[in-house]
Amino acid sequence: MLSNKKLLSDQEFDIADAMQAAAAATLMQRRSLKNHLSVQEYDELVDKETALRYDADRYRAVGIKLLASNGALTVSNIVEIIDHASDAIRQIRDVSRLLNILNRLVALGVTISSGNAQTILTQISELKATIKANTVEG
Amino acid sequence: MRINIAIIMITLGISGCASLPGIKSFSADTITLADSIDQLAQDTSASCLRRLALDVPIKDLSTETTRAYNDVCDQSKQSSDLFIALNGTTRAYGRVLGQLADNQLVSFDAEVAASKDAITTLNSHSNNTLFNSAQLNALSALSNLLLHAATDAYRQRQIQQVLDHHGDLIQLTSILQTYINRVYLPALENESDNLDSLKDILIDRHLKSEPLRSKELLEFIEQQKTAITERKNMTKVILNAITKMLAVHAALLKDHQNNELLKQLLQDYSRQILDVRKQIHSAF
Repeated sequence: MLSNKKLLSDQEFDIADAMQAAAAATLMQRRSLKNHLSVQEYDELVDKETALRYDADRYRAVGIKLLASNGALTVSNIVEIIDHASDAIRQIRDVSRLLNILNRLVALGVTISSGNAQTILTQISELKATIKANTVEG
Repeated sequence: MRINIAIIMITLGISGCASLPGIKSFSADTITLADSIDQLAQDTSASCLRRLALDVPIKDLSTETTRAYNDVCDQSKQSSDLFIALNGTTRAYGRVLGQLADNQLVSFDAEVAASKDAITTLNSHSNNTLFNSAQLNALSALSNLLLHAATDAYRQRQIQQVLDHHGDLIQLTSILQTYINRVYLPALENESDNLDSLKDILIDRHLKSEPLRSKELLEFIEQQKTAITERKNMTKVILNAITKMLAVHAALLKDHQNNELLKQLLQDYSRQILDVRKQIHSAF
């Protein structure tokens, strides 16, 4: 059963911090891979990093309200998946794989703002699958 | 001689008690502290706008994207305006204590009304989750106390009633600390990281084709980085001042006459506030 559930402040700040860390990881990889990037890939990495930075601002400014199913979606789930994506971003050396993960992460960032828990859950699953498929173990 | 003493005593009785220098000092320093916290809050949304102002030309953002990010900065401004209204209670609390210390009637404070409006907005705003209900309830209690101090003609004899709200002041300071630690400092970090990112973009993409413009921007970015470092240092000093403010208040609660421990704490707080003034002057 769905019910309105507000996140506590500390928790939403954790999500904002995780998004900002993902932006920092993206910058680090752009630096690391810059000699191997096409102009388009370079621009895409800049766009994704920028989007993640403004997501962090948005969460800190207005907070996050989730329509959450009991226990099916927790703040920890969201922070964990963003952290997991950041770890993958730091490790991946193939830019197309990197962009696959970043595209999913940026989409999740927009959905978090919308507060639609069902879509967030779906996108978390998709992001997990994308990380798995694009990392070494995948 | 006896007549003279009697006259002095009667005069004191009419004009009220002697001023309380410890509380006066706390009042003045707390007003300065609240002013400095307002500046941090204003700089939060300013940080977002500074970032956007550089992102647009260097990252070549489209009009649509610029508008979307500008909306985020607007949200940040609305959020910091609400916080500034809440922080008005800090300043009003300091002001009321100063008036009571002089045994003056407490004047009606528009900032208290603004703070109450901000609490109402935060409680009714469906998206607000920035501050928890314990914090907002305590702030509401403190605002009500300050309103009562004006409407019920509080004088120096009621000063203990005001100081007794130490628990509410602890919650108020937790709001200030939460905002500074979890909104302002991360915003500065975001801006600083973004400046590094912009620097890379200028070097990687623009320096060869537009050397003069790129060099100007690179120099500007370095200046912004230095300014952010100064603001971070200033923020640490302000956070320390908040801690000292609470320590002095706890001592005033126990004994607001001038004992040695209180004197030391007040001097320490005043020194910290002096440092806050210097850092603010340097950072802005």
